[in-house]
Amino acid sequence: MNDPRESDDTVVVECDLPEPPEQVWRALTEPELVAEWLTADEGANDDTAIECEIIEAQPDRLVRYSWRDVDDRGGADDRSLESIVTFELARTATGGTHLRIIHTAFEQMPALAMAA
Amino acid sequence: MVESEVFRALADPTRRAVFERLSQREMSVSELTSGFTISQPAISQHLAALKGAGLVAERREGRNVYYRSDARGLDALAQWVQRYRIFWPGRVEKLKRVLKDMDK
Repeated sequence: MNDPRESDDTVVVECDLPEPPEQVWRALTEPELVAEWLTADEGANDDTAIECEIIEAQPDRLVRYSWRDVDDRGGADDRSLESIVTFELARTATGGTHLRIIHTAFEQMPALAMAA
Repeated sequence: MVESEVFRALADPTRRAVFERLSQREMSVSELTSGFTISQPAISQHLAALKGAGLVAERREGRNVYYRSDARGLDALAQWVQRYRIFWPGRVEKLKRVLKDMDK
């Protein structure tokens, strides 16, 4: 398994949660729960809307979203940026969840493209 | 620089490899092509897209054209990363609250 790190095109955020992976999984995948924590606060100065869609799901372990920032100022499609967000869940020794969020602007570069 | 143009140009893995190669030093198309398994016309297409996004600059010297990466194009990417470095820790705090409410 590759081990993505912070880089010029990737943001990694990690945290430990007391809740078990089954519960965290629900909060990350059930639309009404996702909306509760992912959407901007009312009145927040946030001019970017987000469209996301699940592209890979391994229950209680991993969920991957395609992620699109839609800039309200531009409106049209050509102002949107596509990226990928991966949530990795691992059970901790105390029965909680270690959550790792990896947000990357681009897919990994295939080694085949380069000859040398 | 329009952020989305930079993203679109760099989203293609081969194009990204071309950009990274030209970050090391200035090269002609043939020099650049020798490092890849794809054809010169394909490389030229990628170069055109990178130029269009302001990520690659060219320099003519007689009949030869040399290309190099224009690092200013990466400012948009740096801004994007900066935005999400702030965004995610804030969302994690909200997620923690949602998880606690689920317990009840």
